[in-house]
Formats: sequence, structure tokens, C-alpha cells
Amino acid sequence: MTTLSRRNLFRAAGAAAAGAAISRGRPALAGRTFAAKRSVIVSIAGGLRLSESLGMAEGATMPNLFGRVPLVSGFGDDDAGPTRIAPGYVSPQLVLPPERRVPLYTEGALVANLRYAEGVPGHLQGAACLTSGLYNDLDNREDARLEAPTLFEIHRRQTNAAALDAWYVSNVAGFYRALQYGGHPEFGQAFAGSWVSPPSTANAIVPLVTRGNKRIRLDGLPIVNDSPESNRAARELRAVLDGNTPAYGADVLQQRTEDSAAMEDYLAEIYGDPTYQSFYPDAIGIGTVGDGGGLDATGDALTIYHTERILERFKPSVMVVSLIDIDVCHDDFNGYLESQRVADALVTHLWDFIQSTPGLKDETALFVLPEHGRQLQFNGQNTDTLGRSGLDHGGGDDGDRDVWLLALGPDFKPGVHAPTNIEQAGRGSGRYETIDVVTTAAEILGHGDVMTSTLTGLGKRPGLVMEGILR
Amino acid sequence: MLKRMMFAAFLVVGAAACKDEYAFDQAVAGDTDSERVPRPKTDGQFLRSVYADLLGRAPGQLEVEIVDEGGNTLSEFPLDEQELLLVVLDGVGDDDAMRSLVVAGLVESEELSLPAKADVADPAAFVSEQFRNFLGREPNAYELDAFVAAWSRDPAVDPKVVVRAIIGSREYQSQ
Repeated sequence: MTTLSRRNLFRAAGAAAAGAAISRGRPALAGRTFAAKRSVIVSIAGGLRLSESLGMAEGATMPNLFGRVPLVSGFGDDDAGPTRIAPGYVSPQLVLPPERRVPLYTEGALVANLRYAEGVPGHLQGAACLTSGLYNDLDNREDARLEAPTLFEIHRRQTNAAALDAWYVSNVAGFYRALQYGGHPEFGQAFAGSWVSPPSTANAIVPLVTRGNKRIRLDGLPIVNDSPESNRAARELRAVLDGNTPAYGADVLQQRTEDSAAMEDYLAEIYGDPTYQSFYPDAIGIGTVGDGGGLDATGDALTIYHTERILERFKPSVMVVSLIDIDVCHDDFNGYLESQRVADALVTHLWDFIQSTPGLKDETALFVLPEHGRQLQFNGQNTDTLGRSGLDHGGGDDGDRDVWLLALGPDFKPGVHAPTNIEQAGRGSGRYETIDVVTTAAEILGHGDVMTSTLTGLGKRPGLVMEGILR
Repeated sequence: MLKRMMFAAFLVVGAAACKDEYAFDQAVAGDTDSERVPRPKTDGQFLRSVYADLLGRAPGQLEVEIVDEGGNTLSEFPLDEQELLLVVLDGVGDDDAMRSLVVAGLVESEELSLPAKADVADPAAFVSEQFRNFLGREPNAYELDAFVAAWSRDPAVDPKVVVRAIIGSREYQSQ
């Protein structure tokens, strides 16, 4: 593999080529060990500004993660109070669990001045950065491919892992499938991650539509019967036919048969539950009050709930999760604030789930961050009674690019960090950047050097390992 | 439960901003390569063909009535079969798994009446008929032997599994 020679080249070039990291950041190195066995990156995506999250300029929108006192300067030192929803604003009533007494940031490393330094502040581009460690301007197309490999591909190629050991779980479907794998010739679809969008799949559409029941009784809801035995038997017979049929071209994504079978079994369990609670159970206690008074899920809630199920079932080594609901902010500022509250509860639920599940507890590194921010100026859309209107993203001002990272897990040094002395050739921010998060996640998996050398080989600036937040 | 079913129906409508998508279906003009490598059907092609071959019709509107335990109508609404199933198929990166599940549901459709295994007197004839129905050809000797042997040997192999296997095959799934 050419990565070895690239690595050697990289090392030979040393500080001049890659940028010498000073004490709080460094290029990835092989050989270091971590307590964590898996890296999970959760993007509270849709564009989240520092001012509303850590600054709490509109009240404490994320109290479980960050408490109620602003964590960045310029927003005061007092309790920010409850989320400031405009009088007259009508929205579904939120269902949220009781607030944590001690916010999660105190248990982990909070980087309060992370910078999404380059690339378009767009959702797919930000998500692509979080899967690859590459700033990019990827087109919004399902067949668009990053130049760099994703973390899924690197992990699978380096470890010969199954597709079910590397997951991308996304609120948004469609062109986000582009992020299963990149276009780098040494990687590609043979090492693609598993990809699922729970809001598209975790619902009753399949049993309702395919069973064709025109009259559905609430005490006899349709299900899909697909037992592991029938799945196995159908696949064995199918193999008889496929043995006589030319294979698809190398450009067609095909997971290994055993991975597809396991994915089918996983989904079949959901569609086979006659209570429909497997789509989204009332017991999770996060969402909105439905018409009938019960609990309705949001897109982000479905995404996190099924992230937990996937973690529980497959215990993957690498996972990237993209939320999106806060993006309503383009024309619904209050919805943006409310969605932050839901995301706050969901991420907290996810961490509590991880720390209460054997096989995940104390061996999972969780990175939580926005994929980018939002612009500094209101856009004038749908102004509320407090004079606040929508906020766009994509222009690339500091509102778009100043974000944060909360890193939770056994290898992180608790505390609030905001270094301004991170040095690397080509790094103008002097700060930790979004690409560093991905490199650090890769480093925990033992792939930091491969990610770094591959990006360097493409002439791209790789992220640094965030030494300053590691124990 | 009702809200969950309704939720399924309106999920596709509730898209947030920033989700514009530009879909490209690659085409090659003047390709004379007779050794063309097969490509999988698109999700739309798959749905239309499986509805036609299995149910004898195109995907359409399913008018659903929800009734309570006493038989009282609670709600009535239409479900656009193709639009909704395309959303689901788009939501899983492994087409093979999700398509298989859709077919697992369709073989139990109220519109279809596959026989029970015990009611099939001649498994070879049944298998051959399914090959003709879905692939437009007879099974070769190897295929027929393999299917009939599995029918006898494996309790999980039944008419539904035979149909699922043929529909799931690369031959059926290819354009």
C-alpha cells in the first residue's frame, strides 16, 4: 500500500511539511493506546451558533450539556434563565426529562473555541468533514464523492472489519448517502460504512403499505414477518441464482452478504413488532406531545434512539451521527431554540445510555459538536414578537465558523479548554479545528496516522491530534 | 398507535430546509459494448417491477381506514405506495437488505395468495412456475435441483421464501 510510503514521506518532511504542533496539538502517530475502543461523533447539526449554545444569549437552551451559566465571554456570568421563547409563538409542546443536576461538560473536555475553519458552512459539507477530516465543498448529490476516504473506509480497510462495525446514522436521507464512502482509489465502496436514516425507515410505512390492509384495527396492526430463518433460507436460494449471473461493476455499492443479512435481521425486528414501540417507544420520554396526548418523536429523536439501538446491538468501532432539526432556524428562530433543547436532552440520553450499557461503558469516546454555526445577522424571515428572525448559514462569517466540541470518555481531560496557540502550517486560526476532532477520533481507533498520511498525500492539510484535551 | 401510523404517512412531507437534492442518473450515449456489466435497478424500477410481477398492478394509492377495537372508524387516509416506499428505500444504505424487507411484506399482502407449503403437491412445478413468472425463463437443471432439494431439506423454505429468493436475485434486480 502506498500509505506507508506516504507516511514515511510525511515523517521525513516533518515539521516543515505538516506543521509542527506545539505542546497542545501534534500530528497523529502510530502506537499510542487509548482506553476507548470506539469513536462516536455526534453532530448537533443544522447550524448551531456559539452565542445561543455556550453563550446562552437566548436563555439556557442546552442545560444538560452546559448548565445555565454562559461558558464563553461576552454573555455575562449570571444564570441565563430559561429558553426565551417569543410570546405568541405556537409550537408542539415539548416532552423533556428532568434536567441533570450536574451538566455533562463537567465530566468531559469542552473546547469552547473550536473553529470550522475552511470549506462551505453547509450541512453536507460539514457532515463530510466530520466523516473524513477534510474541509470540502462537496456537491449536494448522492453520487458526489469526497477526495479523501471516510473514517469508515479507513477503519474497515485497516482492520478488515465488517460494514456493521462502521456506521453513519443520519436524520437526513437522500444525498447524505454520499458519505458512506469517498472516491479515494485506495479505499472506496468495498470499505463503505453502513448507513441508515431512522426518520425515513423507522416508521410503519413498510408494514402498512406492503401488507395492503385497507382496514386496520388498532388491536391488530400489520407487521412484516421476516424471521432470521426465512432471511437465511431466501439468501441461500438466491445464491444459487447469483452464481450464474454476472456480478455488478466495481462502482456499485454491495455490502458483504453476511452484513446485508444482519442488517435485514436488525430492521426486521423493528418491522416485526406488533406494538410499534420499536419505532420509537414512549419510555424514552423525549419528543413532543402528540394529538392524542402521547409522545411523538422528532427527526432528531428518532435518529438518537436508533443510534442507541445500533450501538447496543452491533457495538461498532466507529460511528458518525448527524442531527438536523435546528436547521428550522432559516425561518423559525423559536423552533431553533426549542430544537436545541431537544438535542440537548437527546445527547444526554445517549451518553447516559452508553455509560449504562456493558460493552459501551468506559470504552466509548463521544465527540459532540455542531457541524458549523450560523451567520451573525438575522435574515428578516418570519420575525417574532421579540424582534428575532431567521438565521441562515453558508456565508462564512465568524458566526458560521465559531463552534465548540464536547468530548466525553475515558481518555479526555475534564475541563474547559480554549487554546489559541495551536500551530500548524496553513492553520490561521491558532485554535483547535473541526478536522482535529476527526483526526483524534481516528487516532483513538489507531488510524490517525493513516488518515493523516492519506490527506497529506492528497495535498490537504490534515487535522492534529488534540493533545491538550487528552489525559 | 394511530399517531404513529399517521406519522408514517406525513413523514415525507416534513422536510426541513437545506435538503435540496440534485439527482443524476448517469447515461452513456452510443454504448455498443455487448458485454455490458449489469447494474441494479433503481429503487423506482425495482418497485414498479415487483408490484407488476407480484401483485399484477402498478403502485398506486392505498386507501386506509383505521378502526378501533369496536370496529369504529377513527380515520381514513390515502397512502401513496411508491412515494412512501421510495422514502424508506432511500433511508438505508444497503439496498439489498431494505428491498428484501419490502418483498417480505409484499409476499404477505392481502392482494396475494401464495399457497401454504403443505398445499404444494409438486414443488418442482411450483418452482418452475415462479421462474417463469419473475425471470421469464425456465430454471436450469442445477437451479431446479437446488431449489427442490432445499424445499425438502429446509423447513424454512416455503413458497414465500422461493418468491423472495427469485426477486432478490441479481438477475431480477438488474436493469
